[in-house]
Amino acid sequence: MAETEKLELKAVEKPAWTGHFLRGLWQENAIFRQLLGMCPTLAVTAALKPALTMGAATLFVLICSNLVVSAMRKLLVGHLRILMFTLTIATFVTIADQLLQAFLPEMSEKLGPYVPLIIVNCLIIGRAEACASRKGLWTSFCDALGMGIGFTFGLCVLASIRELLADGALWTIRVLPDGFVNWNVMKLPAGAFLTLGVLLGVSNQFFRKK
Amino acid sequence: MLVKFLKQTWLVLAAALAFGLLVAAVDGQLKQRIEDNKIKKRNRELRALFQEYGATCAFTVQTGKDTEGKKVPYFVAQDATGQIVGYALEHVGGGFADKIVLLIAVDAELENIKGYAVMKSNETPGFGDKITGDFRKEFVNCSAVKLKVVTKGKRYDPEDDVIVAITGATISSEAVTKIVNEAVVILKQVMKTK
Repeated sequence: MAETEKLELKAVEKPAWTGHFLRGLWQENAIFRQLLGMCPTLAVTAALKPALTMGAATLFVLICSNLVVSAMRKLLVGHLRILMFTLTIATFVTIADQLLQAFLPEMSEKLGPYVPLIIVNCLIIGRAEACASRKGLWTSFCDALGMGIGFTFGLCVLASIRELLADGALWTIRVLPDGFVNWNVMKLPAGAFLTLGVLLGVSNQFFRKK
Repeated sequence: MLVKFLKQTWLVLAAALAFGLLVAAVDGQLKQRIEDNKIKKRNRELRALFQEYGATCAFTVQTGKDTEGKKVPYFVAQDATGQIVGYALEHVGGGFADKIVLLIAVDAELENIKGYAVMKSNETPGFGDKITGDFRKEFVNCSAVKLKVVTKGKRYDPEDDVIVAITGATISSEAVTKIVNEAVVILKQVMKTK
């Protein structure tokens, strides 16, 4: 009788919490790799200040919602989990909106309806489903931190390029010489799409070479 | 039936209650600060609209009635001697993207517009959002009559009663002009019924 071959399954190493954190920063970056949160990415990146504020607000909502979802993950019933995710995210977005109105009223005005729209940012509900509903508190927190910082980084890169070319400035401080002719298209949606497209191409090229 | 329903949805109901309480608590803590921010902004804009009278210009809120009997809150600007130097009114109208809230100031005789400030607006960046910029100069010292919007003309000329629209943002320009016109009419009605 032929000997049966026994396949030894190599033990799959479960990713440590550092893996979750680091992947969110670049390898699975929300903007450049996953193309999530495109609405705020294109809408609030005309300047660096609002982009950073939006990133910070999203990070806050991500962390809080991931922690809460992770805390109740064992109680989530299959068909009601999306409802619970949405309820959780909406609560923290409301709190973030109130905090902005109270402590950064000018930024709150500038961001306008895009702060409440964080509720429908696929990144947040995606992380709740992919990580927070399956992992413990610490892993969920690190995942949210990595994803949030990666998202903020993406927003800031886009905003820096657009503000530099549109106004010759960064953080409203003029950095380019007075002779520089402003690219007004960079303030408009067309400029946002163009810049994002170029950055996506660069990031794809980088990963292809790797 | 009820037991089966509760077994499935108790978490949703409990979470809704807990989150509701959390939002209410945060709202309770921050509400006053948010209101104070709105008042600070309004006072800042009023001071800018009446800047020629300096820091001693005082503003008081009064309530009048329009011709339909509806209560209308408005601001009265008084200089250091207590003399009324102008009035201001907050008015809302539909813009291109969303509602626009303006604070419109007129002189004490209700003959000339002193200008306006944008309190809230979501107009298109690069086009309609120019209503917060130099476009405001179009209204300064214009007569407090029904102003018209034109697409070509001499900019910032208070002698004519026309407003030259922002290039590429005619709808936003017309919206602002309409809001200013309506505010002037309301102020005149309020002063008549005083």
